[in-house]
Amino acid sequence: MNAVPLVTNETETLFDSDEMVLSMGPQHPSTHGVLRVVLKLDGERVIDLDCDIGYLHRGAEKIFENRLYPMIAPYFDRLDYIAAVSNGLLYVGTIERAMKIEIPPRAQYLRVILTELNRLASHLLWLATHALDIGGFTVFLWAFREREEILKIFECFFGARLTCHAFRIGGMSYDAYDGFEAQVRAFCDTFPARLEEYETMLNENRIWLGRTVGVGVITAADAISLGLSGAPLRGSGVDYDVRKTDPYECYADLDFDIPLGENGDTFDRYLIRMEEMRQSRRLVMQALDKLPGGPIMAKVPKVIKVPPGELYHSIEAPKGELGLYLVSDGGTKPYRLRVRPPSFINLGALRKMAVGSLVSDVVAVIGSLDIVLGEIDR
Amino acid sequence: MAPAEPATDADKEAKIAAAKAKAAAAKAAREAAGEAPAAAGDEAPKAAPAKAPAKAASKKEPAVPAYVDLVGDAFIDDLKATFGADIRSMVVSNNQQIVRVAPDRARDVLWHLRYNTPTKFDFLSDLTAAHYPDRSAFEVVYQIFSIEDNRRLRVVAEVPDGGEVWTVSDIWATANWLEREVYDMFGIRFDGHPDLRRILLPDGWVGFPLRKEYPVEYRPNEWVEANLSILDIPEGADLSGKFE
Repeated sequence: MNAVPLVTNETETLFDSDEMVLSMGPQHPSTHGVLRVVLKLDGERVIDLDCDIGYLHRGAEKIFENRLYPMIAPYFDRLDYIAAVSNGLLYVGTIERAMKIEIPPRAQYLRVILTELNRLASHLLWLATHALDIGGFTVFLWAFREREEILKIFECFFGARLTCHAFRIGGMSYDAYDGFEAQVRAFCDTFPARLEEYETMLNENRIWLGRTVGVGVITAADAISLGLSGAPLRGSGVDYDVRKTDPYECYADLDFDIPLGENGDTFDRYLIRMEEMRQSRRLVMQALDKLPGGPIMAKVPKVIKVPPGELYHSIEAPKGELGLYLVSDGGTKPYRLRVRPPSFINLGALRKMAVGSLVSDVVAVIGSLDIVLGEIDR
Repeated sequence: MAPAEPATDADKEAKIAAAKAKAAAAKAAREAAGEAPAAAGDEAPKAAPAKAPAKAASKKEPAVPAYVDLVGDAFIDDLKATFGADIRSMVVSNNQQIVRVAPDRARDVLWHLRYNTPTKFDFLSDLTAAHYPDRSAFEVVYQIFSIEDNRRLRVVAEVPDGGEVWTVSDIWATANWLEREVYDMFGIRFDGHPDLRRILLPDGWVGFPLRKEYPVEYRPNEWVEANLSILDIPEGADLSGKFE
């Protein structure tokens, strides 16, 4: 939103005719929303870059402070609108922890099923757009076909496809509808074959390999220092997944693996997300097998009041560690509610990853970071 | 709802009690209306006392203190021994450890936690702030995490209004953007930050939105007038954005 180019010219080459400043976005399709990247170029090579964000800033954290606890939940669906279910889980989970509400097992399992389905939907959208950015139009169409199946399940469950206001403080507002299990199982049965189709298209594709291998490399030490989380961190071989380190809901009872990369490049991040989709499917199947009966709502007071104190709770959202820091003064509204947005922090690494590469690689790196501007700008 | 659950007996009793109280309140209201049909305004205050006792009876949990002193943790005790009075307090809230430090020493404590302690807090999960106008101070909050030892710790530095803290953007590169966001939203300056400017709001914006005195209502604003060409706001439009 700055009128002047943000990149400062630190060296004495101000009038060097080889250098130019290029503004990419905010309406550029490959920036996945309203992200503006100001590139300083020497020919086709990026010497420096700066991200200009905030176009979608709605002051969400200020709004939270002026709303009752139950009224805040829908705002979370609109942060990372690709993974609204995960965001809802974070919010209700934080409030439940602060109020010390125990969630019935059936609600926990249903939450895990829906959250993992949402991870699949989010990763499929990432795969579709990432492939489209690099030039793979077929994968784009195929991934949307599978995502559609998940969105149909969401539509039956919540009545919404995108901003699924899924969970309530204390459990779920709806139990699984008739045919839910069959529909989810049918999807899980066909999904591995679909994944193989994508991999046939991409894994040995010369163009895909040329555009991703060795592009946007980040070392493990840099990734940790930059606070990366999710696939960008694990792509560099750092074993950190909140589902394992601090299990929430019923993840401790379920069996799944955390895929790790080696080289920290765009191709490794691609492989990791593909494997994560397999693991998510595995989690959904397990949770369906173990799905207990019983109530779906815990006893929750009519007026939600959080006892005084503070709490930081985080979950493994599709984009990375999604955290929430709550300060309560004991009232019906939060004193301070801070979202730790993984997309925001992951985007902060773009400069480190893209400087020195080509302009077309910037597009690939932005795609492999998997950002959502609704969450970055809040 | 499963009626066979053992917990439902107590549930039912509570519901019956609530229903009785409601009926009593309604009766009182009816009587009041019958006695003085003209004084409709009296209904509400008369109904309220009948409801209040039922509510008070259901409140039986003793109040848990928000913060409990943190004792018996060797790691934290070592930290206290190293920094002495600069560690202002060590507390626990919701089973999470919080160390409050003097603002001018926050950077030293965090440096120590990153490099010198047996548990190396190599991951800065989050850096944010909260405004406490009654103390005319800000709390700058560092959520740090050790990937190797899977341990979280919260370091809190209370900065007086207008005060500064040292940057940690050279300890954790992620702090670069997070400190810019805190500056953008609260106006807290980070000494030594390489590039401290607004990040979400545009340059030229006046005020820091997450300060408590910053209103939620829309107010005429030079930047908006100059850049967004919002010309007319309809008469009587509700711009309060507030919910009461």
